[in-house]
Amino acid sequence: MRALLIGATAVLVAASPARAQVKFTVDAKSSLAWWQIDPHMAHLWATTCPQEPSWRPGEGRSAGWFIDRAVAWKRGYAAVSDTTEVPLYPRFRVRPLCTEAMTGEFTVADTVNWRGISGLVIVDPKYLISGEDMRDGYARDALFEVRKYADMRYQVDSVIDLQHKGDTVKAVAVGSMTIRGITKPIRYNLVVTREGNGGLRIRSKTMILPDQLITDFGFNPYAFGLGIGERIWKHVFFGGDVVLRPAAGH
Amino acid sequence: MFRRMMSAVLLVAFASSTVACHSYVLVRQPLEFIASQRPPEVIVTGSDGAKFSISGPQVFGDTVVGYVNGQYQEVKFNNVGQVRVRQNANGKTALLIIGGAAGVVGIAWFVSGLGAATQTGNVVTDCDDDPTQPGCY
Repeated sequence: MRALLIGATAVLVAASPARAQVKFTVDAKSSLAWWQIDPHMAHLWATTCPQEPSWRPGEGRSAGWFIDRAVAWKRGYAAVSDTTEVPLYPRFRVRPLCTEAMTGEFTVADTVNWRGISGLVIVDPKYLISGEDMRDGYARDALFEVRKYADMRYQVDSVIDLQHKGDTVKAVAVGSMTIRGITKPIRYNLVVTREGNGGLRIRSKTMILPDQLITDFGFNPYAFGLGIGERIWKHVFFGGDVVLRPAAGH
Repeated sequence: MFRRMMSAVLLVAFASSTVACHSYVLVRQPLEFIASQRPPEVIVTGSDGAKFSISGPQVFGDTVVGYVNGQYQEVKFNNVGQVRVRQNANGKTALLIIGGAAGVVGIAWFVSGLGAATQTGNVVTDCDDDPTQPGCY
């Protein structure tokens, strides 16, 4: 989710070098947000785009989902920490088939020096799907409390540490994240590439410690059970794979 | 005689238990089939003759996508020779059930006959206990 915002930031980076203010909007059908726990224990991850063919749910899935045994059974339910495969099922090709779970807009005042960047990405957490209906319902009702807090917001204030490598730009987005109505400063790692029709694709990822879900964002500690209580979880990742399109007239 | 019958029954039971209840059948219109039926797995024979399994296949235009040996792959349909899909094999399933039932009956028959005495005239002798008795050889 934060990634989304960050992604927006990336837009700034990749935009054409014009001094005029450029405006981008999130292509909701082509964009997704995700989270993943480390260790994922073969089931702790979710996406807003389960339609993506490279994505698979974890063990204990509900009916109607396919898993790939070669991947899913590699470690089983074991609590083996691994921060190298995050997200576990990345997207390899952008296709406009996702649930429209996010909206957003970015503006860049100076696309030469990348100043005056601002943007906001909003994610609807009720569309985060793990593939197990009961688990998703629990996350919506007991964790994110979507009836009370209908969205997650990612505000991008600036982009720093730009690194250009061919057509790819790596950067860090600085801004804030709002979950459950609580706003905290965040930084997201970004990878920005060009997408068709003048668009930009921004893949973003950030990590927090499990305790921060409680201390920073006010999640109910008892709702997480042993994952946090017994310190089984080591890291919580949030990310996005966002496609931005030039707004009409830009 | 009894042991031969028993061996035959067990052989049939074993043979029937080793045949699968599924078989892979050729799909005539693979793209349409995968798009409409969403099978969990298909076996693809590439135009080069290589065979591989695609897990959770989906069709996008002229491309079949899914996981091959744990790796996400996109396969252009031009490169696909044949597609086979796993289907229930009713004949084999029936054979399995019949063979399994025969095996169970055979084992029950065999077990029920263990230790049975051989009757000779009015005298009941236990040949397992003393094979040298008259009527036991």
